[in-house]
Amino acid sequence: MIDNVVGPSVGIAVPTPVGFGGWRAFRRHRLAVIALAVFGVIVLAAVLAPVLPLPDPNAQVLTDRLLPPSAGHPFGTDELGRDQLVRLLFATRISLWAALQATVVGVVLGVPLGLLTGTVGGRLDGIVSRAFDAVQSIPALILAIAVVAVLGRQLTPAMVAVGIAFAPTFYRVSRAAASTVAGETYIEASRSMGQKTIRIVVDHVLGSVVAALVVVISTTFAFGILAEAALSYLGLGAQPPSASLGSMLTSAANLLNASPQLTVEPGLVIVLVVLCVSQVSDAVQAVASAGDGG
Amino acid sequence: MTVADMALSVQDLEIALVGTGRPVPVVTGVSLAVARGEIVGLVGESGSGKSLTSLAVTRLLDPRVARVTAGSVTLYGRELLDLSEPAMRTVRGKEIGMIFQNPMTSLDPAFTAGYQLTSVLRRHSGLGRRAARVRAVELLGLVGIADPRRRVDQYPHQLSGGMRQRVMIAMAIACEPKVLIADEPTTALDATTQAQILDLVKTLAGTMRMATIITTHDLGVVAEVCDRVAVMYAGQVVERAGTEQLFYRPRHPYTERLLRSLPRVGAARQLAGIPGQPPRAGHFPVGCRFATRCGYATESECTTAVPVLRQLADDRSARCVRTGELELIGVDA
Amino acid sequence: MVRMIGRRVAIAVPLVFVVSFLVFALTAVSPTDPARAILGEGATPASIAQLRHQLGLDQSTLVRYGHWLAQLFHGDLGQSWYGNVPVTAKIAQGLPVTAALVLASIVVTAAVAVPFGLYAGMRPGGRVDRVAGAVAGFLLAMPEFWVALLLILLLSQKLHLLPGTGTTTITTDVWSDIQYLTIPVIAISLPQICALYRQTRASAATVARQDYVRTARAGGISESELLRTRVAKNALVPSVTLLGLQLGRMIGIAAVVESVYGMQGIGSMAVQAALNSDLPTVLGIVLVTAVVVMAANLLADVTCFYLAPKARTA
Repeated sequence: MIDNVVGPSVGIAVPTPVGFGGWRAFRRHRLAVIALAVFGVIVLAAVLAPVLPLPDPNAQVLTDRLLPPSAGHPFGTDELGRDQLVRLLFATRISLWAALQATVVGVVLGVPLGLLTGTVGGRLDGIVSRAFDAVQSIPALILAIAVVAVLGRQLTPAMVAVGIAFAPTFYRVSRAAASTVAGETYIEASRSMGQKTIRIVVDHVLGSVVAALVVVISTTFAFGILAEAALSYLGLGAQPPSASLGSMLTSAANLLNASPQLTVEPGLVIVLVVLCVSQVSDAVQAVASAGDGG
Repeated sequence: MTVADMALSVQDLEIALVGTGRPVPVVTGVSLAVARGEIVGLVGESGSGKSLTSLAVTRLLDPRVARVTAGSVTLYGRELLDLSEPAMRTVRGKEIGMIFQNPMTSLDPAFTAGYQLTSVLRRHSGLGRRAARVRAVELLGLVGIADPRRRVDQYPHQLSGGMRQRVMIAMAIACEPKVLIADEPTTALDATTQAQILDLVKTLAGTMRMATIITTHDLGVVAEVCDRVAVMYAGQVVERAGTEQLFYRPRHPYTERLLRSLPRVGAARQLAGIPGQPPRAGHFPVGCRFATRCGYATESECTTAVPVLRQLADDRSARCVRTGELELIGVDA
Repeated sequence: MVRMIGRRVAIAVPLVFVVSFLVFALTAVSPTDPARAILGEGATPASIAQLRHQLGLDQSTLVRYGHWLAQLFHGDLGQSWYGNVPVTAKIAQGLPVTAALVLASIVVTAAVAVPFGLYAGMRPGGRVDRVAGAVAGFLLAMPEFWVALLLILLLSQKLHLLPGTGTTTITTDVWSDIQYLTIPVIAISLPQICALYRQTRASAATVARQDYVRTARAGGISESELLRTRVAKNALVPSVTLLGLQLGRMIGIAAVVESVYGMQGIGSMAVQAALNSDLPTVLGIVLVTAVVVMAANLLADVTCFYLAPKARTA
C-alpha cells in the first residue's frame, strides 16, 4: 500500500488508496462486520441450496395448506402446502442472482467509460456524459417496465434494464474520481520521477475509485433486490414455475387477511438482505471519508 | 480597583478538553482583568490556550471539544459562567462583542453583509427593518468600508479579506458592547491590511471606551495596540506587565525568548527560534512547564513544583522561581 | 438567472431527443410485430402485410424515426395497440392520479425529513439523532409495495380506518381523495424520508461546525433562528438536489404502488401495457416521464441557484 510517494518534507498530500489499512478501519464498525457475515451466510445458503438436504420446494402437500410456523415447518406452509423456509431459500437465490446481474451491467457499462472520460476529457467527455444524462432521466423501474414490454416477460432483461438505469451513477463516480486524481500534482511528481503512466493510473486512480465504487455497488445491489421484488410482484419479472421473493409476494397478497405471515416472511428476507448491504455500504463510506482527511 | 470596577475579570479559569475518556486540563489557573477603554493583549504560540480562553469568556466553547471546569468570569461584577443560556445570549453581541480569526470562513456565504449585520442589530435593539438597515450602513462606514450603501447588499464572496474583517468588526460593535474580544484578528490578513485593522480596533476601543482583549501570537501586534500584556504558555499565564515594561525588561525566560525571536531590520544576529515543543495537554510535566526549553532552569528549583504567579510590583507578575535573580534581556531601547 | 435557466433548457432539448431516440430504438428492436398484435391471433398473413404497409412499418428505421418525431411535434404519441385509443388521451386520464400521488409524497417527504434532519444535524450524537438514524436505516430497507400491503392489512382490513383500494380519478371531494391517497403516500414516502433525512442531517452537521455559525452565535442569535435561517439555507442545497432525483424515483415506485392499491395512474397503466405488450402506451409514458423528471431536476437546480449565492458567479 502506497502511503507517501513523495516524502513528507515536500508536503504533497497523497490520498491513501483503500487497501489493507482500510480493512482494519472497517473491522471497527462492528455492526457492519456482523452485517457482512449475515449477508455471507445468506449468500452461501442460497448458492448451496440445491445441494443441501432439503425438501423439494415445489412439493405440494395439499393437506398441509397454510400452516402456521411449527417444528416441521419453521416458517409455515403456503397455499399449496409447500414448506416456506425452503421456498424462501430458493427464492432468495433468484433474487440475489437478479441483483447481481443488474450490478454487473451497471459496472461494466459505467466504470470503464467513466474512467476513460475522466482521464481524457475533451469532446468524448461531453458526448458520453450527455448520453448518460439522458438515460438518467428515466426512472429505473419505468425503464425496466419498458424493456419488459419490448422484450417479453423475463427477469434477466428487466434486471439488465435496472443495470442500465444505474450505469450513469457508476459513470459519474468513476469519472469524478479519475478526473480528480488525474489532475493531482502527485501524478506530475510521479511522472517526473520516471513512473510510466499506466502504472500511475493503476496505482493511484483505481485505489481512490475503489472506495466510492464499493458504495455505489452496494446501493445498486440493494436497489436490485428491491427492483426485482417489485417487478416480479407485478408479474413482469420472474415467471412461474421459478419463484423469487417478489413473485412469492404476488400470491401472498391475495391471502393477506387469511395468512399474513406469507406476506411478512418474504418481505422480511428482502429487508434483511438490503439492511445488511446498507450497513456494509455505510461503514465503507465512513472509513473512506475518514481516510480522506490525510 | 476592585473586581466589580473591572469591565471584565477572569479569575482562576480552568478549561479541560473533553473527548473519549476523562477530561484533560488544558488551561489552568488563568486570571485576567481588563478595565474600561483598556486594550489587553493575550500572547502565546498556538496551543498555548489563548483562543480557548477567549472563547470561554463568551461561553462559545464547542461542548464536544472543551469545557470550563473551574473559575469565574465577571462582567462589571456580574458572574457570566452561571448564567442560563438564554441570558448569556442576551450578553453576547450586546454586552460582549467578538471577532474571530479567519474572515474568509467567518461570514455566512449565503447571506448579505447587511443581513448578517441587521440580524445582530434587530436581535438586541428591537429596531425595525428599515431603521436597522440605515444603522447597518452607518456601521459599515464607521469601520472604514468605502461605498457602504453598495456593500451592504453584497455577499461575502464579493468582499476582500480585509473588508470581511471589517464587517465582522461592525457586527461585533453594532450594539455598543462594553467588552470587545478579538481572537487573532489579523493573523489571516496581509501586512498592510493588518496594520489598518489594528488601527481600526484601537480607534474603536478608544472612542467607544470598550474593554478589549486581543489574543495573538505576534508580538508586533502587541507593541502596536496593547496597553497591557499577559503572556501564556502551555495553558498558564507566565507573565503580566505593561507593554513597555514587557518589551524592555521581561521577567520570565519565555518572554525573553519570544522577544529574542523577533526579526529586526539591520540586526546582525541570526533569527533565534526556541528549540523544542511546548508540552501538550495531558502531558504537562511536574514543575515548571517551560523548564525543558528554558536556558535558566535548575533541576532542584524548577522541576519539583509548579511555580506560582508571583506579584512583583503593581501590575507586574511572573511565574518563575528565579525571576528575582535573573537579569533577562529585552529589546534594545 | 434567466440566462441560467435558458442554458439548462437548451441542454435539456437535445436530451429529450436522445431519450426519444432511445425510446424509438426500443420499438425497433422489439420482436413483437405491431400489426400482428393489433390484428390479433387469427389474422391472415395478407392482412398483416397490408397493415404493416399502412402503418409504414416496411420502411427503413430512420424514416420511421422521422415520422415518429413529426408525430411527436404534433403532440401525438401514437395509438395504443390495446383498444386503439390515442396514447395521449390515455395518459391524460391517468396523469392526474399519479401527479397527485407523487406530489403529495414529495411534500410529505420534505416536510418530515428536512426539519428532523436539520435539527439532528445541529445536535449530532443527541437523542433525536441516534433514534432517527437507527429508524431511518431500518425503514430504508423496506420495499414500498410490501409496506403498502402491510398498511392495507393493518389500516384497512384490521382497523378499518382507511379504504383498501384506490380511486380511479382525483375527484373534487378533497377529503375522500386524501383518504384514498394516505396509504400509498405513506408507503412511497417512508424510504425517501429516510434518505432525505440522512442527507439533510449530514449536510446540517457540516454546516453547524462552520466558523460562520459561531460568528452568528457570538452575536446572540438564538439556536432556533440559527437553524431556520443560517443552517437551513447553507445546508439544503444537496437536499434539494436529492429531492429532485427522488421525484424521478417516486414515479417509478408509483407504478408498483398504484398496482398494489388499484389506482389508475400512468404507473399502473404502464404495467398493464407491459403485460399486454402494448408498446406505444409504454413508450409514451416513458417519454412523458423523462420530460417530467428533467423538468423536476431543472426546478431543483433553480432552487439551488437561489440558495447558494456563491455558485452564481461560477
